[in-house]
Amino acid sequence: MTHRERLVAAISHRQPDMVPIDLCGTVDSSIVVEGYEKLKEHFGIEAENELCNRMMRVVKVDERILRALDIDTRSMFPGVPIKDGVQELGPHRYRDPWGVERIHPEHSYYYDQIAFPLSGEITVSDISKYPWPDPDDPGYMQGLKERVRWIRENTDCAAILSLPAPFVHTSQYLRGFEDWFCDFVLNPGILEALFDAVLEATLQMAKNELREVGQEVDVVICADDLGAQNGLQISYDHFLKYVKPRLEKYFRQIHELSPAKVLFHSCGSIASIIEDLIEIGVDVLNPVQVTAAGMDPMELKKKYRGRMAFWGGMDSQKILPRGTVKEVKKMVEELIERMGEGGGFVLSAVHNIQPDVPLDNILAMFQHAREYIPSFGK
Amino acid sequence: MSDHEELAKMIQQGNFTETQNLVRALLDQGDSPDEIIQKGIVVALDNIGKRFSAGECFIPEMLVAARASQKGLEILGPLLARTRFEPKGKVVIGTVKGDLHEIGKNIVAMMLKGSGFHVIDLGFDVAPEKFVDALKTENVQILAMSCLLTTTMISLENTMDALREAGLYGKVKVMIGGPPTTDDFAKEIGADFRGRDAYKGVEQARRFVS
Repeated sequence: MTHRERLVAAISHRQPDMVPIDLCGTVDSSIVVEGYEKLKEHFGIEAENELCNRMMRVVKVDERILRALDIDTRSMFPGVPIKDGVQELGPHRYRDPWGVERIHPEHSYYYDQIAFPLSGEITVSDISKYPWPDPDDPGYMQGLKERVRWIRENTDCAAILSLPAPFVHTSQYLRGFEDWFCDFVLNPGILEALFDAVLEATLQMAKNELREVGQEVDVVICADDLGAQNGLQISYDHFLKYVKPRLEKYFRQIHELSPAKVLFHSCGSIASIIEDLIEIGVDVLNPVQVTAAGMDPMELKKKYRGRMAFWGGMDSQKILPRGTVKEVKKMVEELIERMGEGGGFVLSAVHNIQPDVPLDNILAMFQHAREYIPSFGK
Repeated sequence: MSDHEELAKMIQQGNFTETQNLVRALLDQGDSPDEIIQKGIVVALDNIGKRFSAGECFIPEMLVAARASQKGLEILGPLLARTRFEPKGKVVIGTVKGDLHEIGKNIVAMMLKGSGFHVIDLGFDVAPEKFVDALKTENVQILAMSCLLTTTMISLENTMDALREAGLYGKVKVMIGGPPTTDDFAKEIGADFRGRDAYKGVEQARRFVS
């Protein structure tokens, strides 16, 4: 099987020759700069780092490393707007196209938000008057056609197209997290107006991307976190009322404009909404945060076999940063045994590999996934 | 429904105006601030905390109740200062160095205040030395620290080391919280307790000072 065939088989619930593996197919399965330096040194790569997400400071992994690790996926990230794009406000400070300002403190690995432009007491009119980004800026589509052509001509890997976060993340950055949460109880009208304003822009951005390359890609990913460690961040009723219908709209458009599978990323414990996500068009769920409540891989496989594929699973809260190589390999084996049979599973770290993950653990994760022969494959 | 029960209900609904109205009405009736805290605020936060722990309510419900309790305390705080009210205990709380995530920490801080603790909130991105300074200058029984990121768990460890160096280890009870923390990790770094959620943390704080 080619890398692409392997990945497509797995997410279509057909048995691939091996469990596919992903590194940097998405902005949530890549690696933070300081960790990447270790990987580059190991493979003797000298190249400037290019970020695929500035806030999280995660990189586009060099093609030579992806080949050396036999990674099955290749990313397709949208460009940045040409007009009113990213504004540099200092050496470690910028404003993104949504008007959100972030700063990179010296002792931190990430950029942190320093102000929330729509926080506090606001009205619906403040939301409609907000300077929303122009979703039709051609910068977003820049390079996408060339990239998919390059993937097809130079690799046999699956092409993963990244779309903007539908509306949860961005509305949190604009409103501020605490106000955002309180709005569900105290100001649902404000919340809905904000959701709709963000969604209007992201739907249009997504539509443009999908019209450009939607027919040529294998997977389309978007991310909006709904889970916490012990359960959903919001109640199931609030999810049904405010979140689900809007996500449905977003996923419906993807299916209308692309034959690709829809990969949805949400951290945390989201076991209680998987049935809903299947219903509204999610084909593959990332990241299977195995340490969160109800996210046991075996249970998920049993319950959703053939209906929802899973992508991720390598624990980034304990095993990857604090485990031994032996423990990493054991987890790889367990995941492949429990999730791999009959397809339906792509192995990657639960989240971007952080600088606290030892190099040997990174290598062991990908290399052992390739060398391990599962009992069902013998 | 008694007025105290009504107050507890309004707090749990996140009704800021009614919370303040009821607190004022209870004071007018001659209730002591302490009585209002114990029979209204503590009952409300205890109830919402238990429901949160059991997965029956979520961050929005928890946050609005915690914020409503602060609205009540805004009125009661200055009155308490004038009485011989003894706080349940003194807690220094903060999110550790390198970590700016403070919703969880804020909920715990508000719940502790609502439970009658004196809380010194150092905010987020708090360096070990800052925790140590606060513990030295105040007569504190409990240190509560949180982190959201795996990469800042090391700051919990570093703060524990700073406590040892400053001779404070063993003199204050240390509790930690946040998604990547575990009971084993708490043991490893020498913390006394790890809270699975805000309610469990507040419950333990009460045990520490009882």
